Amino acid sequence: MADIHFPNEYGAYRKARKALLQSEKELRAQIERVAKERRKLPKGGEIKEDYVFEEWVDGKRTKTKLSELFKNDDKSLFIYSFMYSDDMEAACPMCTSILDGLEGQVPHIEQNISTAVVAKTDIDTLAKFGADRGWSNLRLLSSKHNTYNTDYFGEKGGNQVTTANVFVKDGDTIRHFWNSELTYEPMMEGGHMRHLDLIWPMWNLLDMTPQGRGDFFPSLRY
Amino acid sequence: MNFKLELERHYPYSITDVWEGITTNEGISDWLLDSNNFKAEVGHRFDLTCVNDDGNLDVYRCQVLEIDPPTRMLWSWVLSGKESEGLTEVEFRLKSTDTGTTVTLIHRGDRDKATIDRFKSGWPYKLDRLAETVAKRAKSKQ
Repeated sequence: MADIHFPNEYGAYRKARKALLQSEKELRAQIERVAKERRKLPKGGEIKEDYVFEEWVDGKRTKTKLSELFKNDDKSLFIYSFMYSDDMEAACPMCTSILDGLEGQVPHIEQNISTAVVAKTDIDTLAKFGADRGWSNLRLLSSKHNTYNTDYFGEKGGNQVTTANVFVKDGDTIRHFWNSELTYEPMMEGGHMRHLDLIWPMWNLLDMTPQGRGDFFPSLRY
Repeated sequence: MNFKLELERHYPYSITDVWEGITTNEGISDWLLDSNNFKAEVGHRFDLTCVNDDGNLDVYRCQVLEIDPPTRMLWSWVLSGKESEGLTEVEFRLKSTDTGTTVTLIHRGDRDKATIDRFKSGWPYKLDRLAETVAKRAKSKQ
């Protein structure tokens, strides 16, 4: 597709679009480079305990260990830290927006790896919120009775933090692999760390429009 | 205010090379303004565009009025939004010489002084760029 022209487009448009395409290609290459660098991370630390979470399974409140979240022969486990604790009035709307999207993607993602969503709030509140939201694919777990959140930076100074962690199986050992640590860095230009942009289609789509992201923030209800 | 600007340049390249520089989208985009719908046909309307200093798109609406390859071409020329001020005309005259090609550019019409001043300062720069465009085309053929 060397020669793309849309109906009635001007020469100046095509010239600017070609320049943008170059930037998009550079970004694409950078994304690949970063992903490759991430994959090459050396072994992470072993989990200090096999955390016990609570979840609802087939209408029953169940205790589930972190090691049991690896389904089948999966080597990787993605855990989303959902900002929702008993002392919060409501679940984080930003997290909810991300999870609304992941809900649909989980069946696809789980062809490759295992996934779970962990929140500090009690399992009944969490399960009800998920059901109200219409979530059926997301695996919701409460970390109310363990130290997972503080150990893996889903909580800092008593406040919930939105973050994501990846754990891997190394033989019989479970090790930490990656955390979206960008979120703990000093604010960059633009004011938001965008550490979970890659799993949040809303922003990427808005970035395709002249309006961009503006000052919009998602809400639980519209 | 009626105006008639007439500039002459001599380029050490063949008349064919110069003609291609002013009658192809690639050539026009290189020295004058971005062009993607030019055709060297009488009556053909085309747009020359650029992003101006304010970051907005300027669109010059043009039409080929007369053409006589490779020695003469006449365009009408008006900035989009200024149609009420009437069309101006841009004429290219090419003459083959022993050492290359002489180009005469004539721009005439009716505009305010500020606009005419912009034409006066703009065209010499553009014609210098045309020299580079033609040089590149000639070199690429060698």
